Amino acid sequence: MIRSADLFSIATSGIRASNKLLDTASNNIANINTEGYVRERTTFDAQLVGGVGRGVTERVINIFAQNQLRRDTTQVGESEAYFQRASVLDNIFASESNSISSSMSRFFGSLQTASDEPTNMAARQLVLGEANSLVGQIGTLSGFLDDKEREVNLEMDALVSRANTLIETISQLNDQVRVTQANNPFDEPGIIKNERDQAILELAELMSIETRDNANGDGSVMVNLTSGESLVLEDGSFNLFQLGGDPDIEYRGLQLQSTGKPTVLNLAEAEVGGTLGGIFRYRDEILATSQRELGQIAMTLAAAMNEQNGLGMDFDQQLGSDIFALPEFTGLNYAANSSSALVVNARVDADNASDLTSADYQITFDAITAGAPPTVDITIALLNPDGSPVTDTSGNPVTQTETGIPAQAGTFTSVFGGIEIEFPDGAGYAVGDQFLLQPTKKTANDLEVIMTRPEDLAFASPIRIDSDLGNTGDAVLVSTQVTNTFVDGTLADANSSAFDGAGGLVAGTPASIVFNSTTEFEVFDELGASLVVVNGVTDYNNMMAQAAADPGWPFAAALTDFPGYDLSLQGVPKAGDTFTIGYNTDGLNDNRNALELSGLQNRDVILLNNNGGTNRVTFHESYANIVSDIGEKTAIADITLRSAEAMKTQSEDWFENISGVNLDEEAANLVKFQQTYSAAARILTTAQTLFDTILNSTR
Amino acid sequence: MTTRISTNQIFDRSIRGILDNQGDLSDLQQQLSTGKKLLRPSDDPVGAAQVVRLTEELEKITQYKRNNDLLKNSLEQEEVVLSNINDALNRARVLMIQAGNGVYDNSDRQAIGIEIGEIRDEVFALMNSQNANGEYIFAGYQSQSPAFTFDPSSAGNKYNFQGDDGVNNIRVSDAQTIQSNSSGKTVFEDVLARLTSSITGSAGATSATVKVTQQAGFDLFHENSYDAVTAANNDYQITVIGGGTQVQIDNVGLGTTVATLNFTSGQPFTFNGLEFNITAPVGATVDFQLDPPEKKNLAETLNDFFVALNDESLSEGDFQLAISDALVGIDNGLGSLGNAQSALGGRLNVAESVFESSLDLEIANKAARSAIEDVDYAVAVSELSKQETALQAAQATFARVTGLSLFDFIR
Repeated sequence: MIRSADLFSIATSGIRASNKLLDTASNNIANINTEGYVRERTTFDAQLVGGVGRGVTERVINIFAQNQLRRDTTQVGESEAYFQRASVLDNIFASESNSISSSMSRFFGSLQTASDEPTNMAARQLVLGEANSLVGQIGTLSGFLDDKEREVNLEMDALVSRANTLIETISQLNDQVRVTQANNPFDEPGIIKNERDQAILELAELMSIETRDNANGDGSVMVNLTSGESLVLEDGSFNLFQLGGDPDIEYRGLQLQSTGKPTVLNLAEAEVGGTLGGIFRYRDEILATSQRELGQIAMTLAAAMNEQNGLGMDFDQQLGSDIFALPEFTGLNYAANSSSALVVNARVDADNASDLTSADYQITFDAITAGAPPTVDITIALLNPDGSPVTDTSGNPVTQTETGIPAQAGTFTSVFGGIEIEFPDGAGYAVGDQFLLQPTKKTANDLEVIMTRPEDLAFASPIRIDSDLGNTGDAVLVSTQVTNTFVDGTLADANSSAFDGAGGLVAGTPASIVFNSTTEFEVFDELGASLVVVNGVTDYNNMMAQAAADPGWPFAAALTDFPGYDLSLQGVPKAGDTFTIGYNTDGLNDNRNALELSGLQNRDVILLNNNGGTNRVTFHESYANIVSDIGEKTAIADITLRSAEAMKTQSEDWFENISGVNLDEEAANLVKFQQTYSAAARILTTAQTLFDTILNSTR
Repeated sequence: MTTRISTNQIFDRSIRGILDNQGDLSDLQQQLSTGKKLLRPSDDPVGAAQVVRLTEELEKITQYKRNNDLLKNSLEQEEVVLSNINDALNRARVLMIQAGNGVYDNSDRQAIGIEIGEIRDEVFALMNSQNANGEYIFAGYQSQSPAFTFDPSSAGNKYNFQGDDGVNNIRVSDAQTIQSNSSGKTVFEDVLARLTSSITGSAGATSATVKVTQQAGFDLFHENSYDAVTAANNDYQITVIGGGTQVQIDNVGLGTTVATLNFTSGQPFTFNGLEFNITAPVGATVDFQLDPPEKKNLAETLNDFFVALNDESLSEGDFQLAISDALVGIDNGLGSLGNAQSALGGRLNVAESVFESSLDLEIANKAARSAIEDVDYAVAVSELSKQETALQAAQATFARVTGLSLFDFIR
């Protein structure tokens, strides 16, 4: 036995120790409501010489529980950010007051009512009213989505700056821990570490991170993204986030910037995790796609209506004009391009509107050939909103090469994917320059109804076929189709039709069909000059197509869709039977084109997906797909959130089980430490008594 | 070993239980108050898309029903007009037969003429019927102007069709459109007048006449032989042969001999419903033709007869011809009218049956939509009371669990 300390020093050390224990217990009680507080415990070693040594106060913490809590916090942060935003869109698209679906139904309904009575001006006026209401509804919804995009960008700014503040704070707290711990090896700097853990937890909510204790044991921690990029480094330096967007500045990407170094690292936004990752995923998976799909419906609908109206004859007996004004859009210039002043413009091609996809179109210049006008070769690649290539069913990127496109201002050339492109800078482009066209992203907002007069609705067909009263056969007209009304009186343009745009047909084009026998017919022009004799006729469908296929057809083969109309007969004609073809002058009660217009509701017009396939659906179907797509993603997000929350509750429980303060436990400790304090004090009294005894005995 | 639990956990767990219960309760309350169990598409994404489609279907059906009503209105109006014309024509037909009564003198004929004139004007007015919007229903696409005009000074037909062949269709279902009007051209204008034949020339004959005595037989011959393209194929030549006892009839254009008949000069003979009366020696020729088929509308036919009735100078034979013209014209007109009426009836029937199936579809779609989105009150109400109980339990235990503290016992 080497105990050399006396009772006095033992008693003093005991009192000091109990005091310290009471301090710790009281501190635990006092901090019960402090966010991020980890309960502390003071431990003692018995002194070799007797008495109790200096106590060490440490946090009671399980590093695995803490890491699990951080990971689950990240998961909840991501799911919550995604779900909360998705559920807003979820409701907006389906609610009856916002639904484009009912607006479309009303618009097509008004067209049908008007087609029942083509001469009723009030019914026509209603069509324009409903068209305006539809466009307004699309604008409201599309404006709402634009607002959401802006909101997302503002939120990203705020979150990125918050993340940067946290990274800086963690780095500073690391320094403080290092200094404090070096100064006082007995007491863990619990308060500073709690503060740092709080900052790390908050950062973990924003993004998926991992931490690692510094190997040299100075108490500092390193923080890096789960994907590997360092945020807080060993040497006390740190890296910060920034946002960039190329070429779409409204579509931002996340980058990591090393402090004091020029290196900028692009990050995979959707894999960042946490609130930030959740917002990026929501933007890419829901917001950006629904924005474009809505735009696709709006643009395709408007273009298809314009196209069909153009194939009709209005109440003023003119060929139909546009109902909607389709916006032009400008290609976004990539930062790496040869000049930022270069411009590429585009618009939806009304003739091929049903080829329009909801993807973005990336134009890359392959070659520029000088000439008058200069021509360019380009490659068009379809991109997803997040910039990744759209792939076809076999997994290859969807691209199309177009060569020899005239490059001059004012010339729009129809290309792949239902758009027309203008290259106003002629030979000024350089090989490798890239532009991003977004035909469906913001355009729905700019859609307008330009038709103001109800008379301009082209409900009649511009063509009229009359049977001759002297016909002796029983052939009757069953249908007419109009496919082209492009006006060029000289028929020089390859797109020309037989319509002259002035209430008639171009001179020298078909004006009557006369049967020479049941199997032979002859086409005459308006002066009675024979144009072509067609023999071996077996059926009487599409008479003009049959005539145009005859080697004797006198019109240029370059005319792609001429005369632009066709007619089908039924029954057996007799020799001499005549059908005259003419402009539908005064044919105001005609509703053939109105039926075509309202029939667009049931036609499969919109591309179902962007993968290069040709599956098409109706407008309503397409809208229903958006609704169910958002609903599905929201439903999944809801489930993910619930399970993430359950996981987080468990890991919180785990963490709290170890590190949380229990008042009852502390109450018991208080009682106990009070008693040990009394006991230690009693030792002192005993020592005093002993000392007095000795003193008295020697007296 | 018992699990250590922190004081904060006790509170958090109790609160979480209450909040979860409240959220569920609020959802149920919303379902009950809106009557919809599909509060947002994520509740049932597939169902939500179906609701969008079914709603579109229902809105279309409502529109189709409206179209169908309009269609039936216009078909019924046409039916009324056609049946009025039918009645008028039948009366006219009776009068025509009466007029053929040999004992009637000029004043009797004129009396009939007055009534025929009235009927003509009535039929003419009906042929120019207008709908509620003022559109001429038989004018085809050019419905802004009258379908038929009357021009008394015209040399040919005085009642002329001014419209076109145009017919409109009205959509009554996704798959079906029904013709909503008929062109006056098909119904009234495209009516054959009596087919006739006439002498075009003769050489060496003293006299030659032809008249149709058996209309049906002649119609058949005309229909089979008439050539609309080559006019010469409608010309025939009669040559007296066989010493004046026979005639040979040749087709001029084709150069074929059509018939050889017995002949006695000055005595009538018949050929395919035509009765020729020729006085001619051997070798004489008489040319005749099949007259081009003529189309006359009803008003025109009635007007022609009206003129004949009032023409005192008309010979008895010509008057009988006029009656034949009128009867054949009216009969052909009635035939065309009958066709139009039966087509109308057919369309009305189709419209009615499509309407019925629209109603059925509407009920089926509404039921389908309701099954997806409407709340089942029995289920929701029982769920509500279940949640209510759970919430009450959570609230009651909160006070008891959190109210316990060791500090309360340390005095």
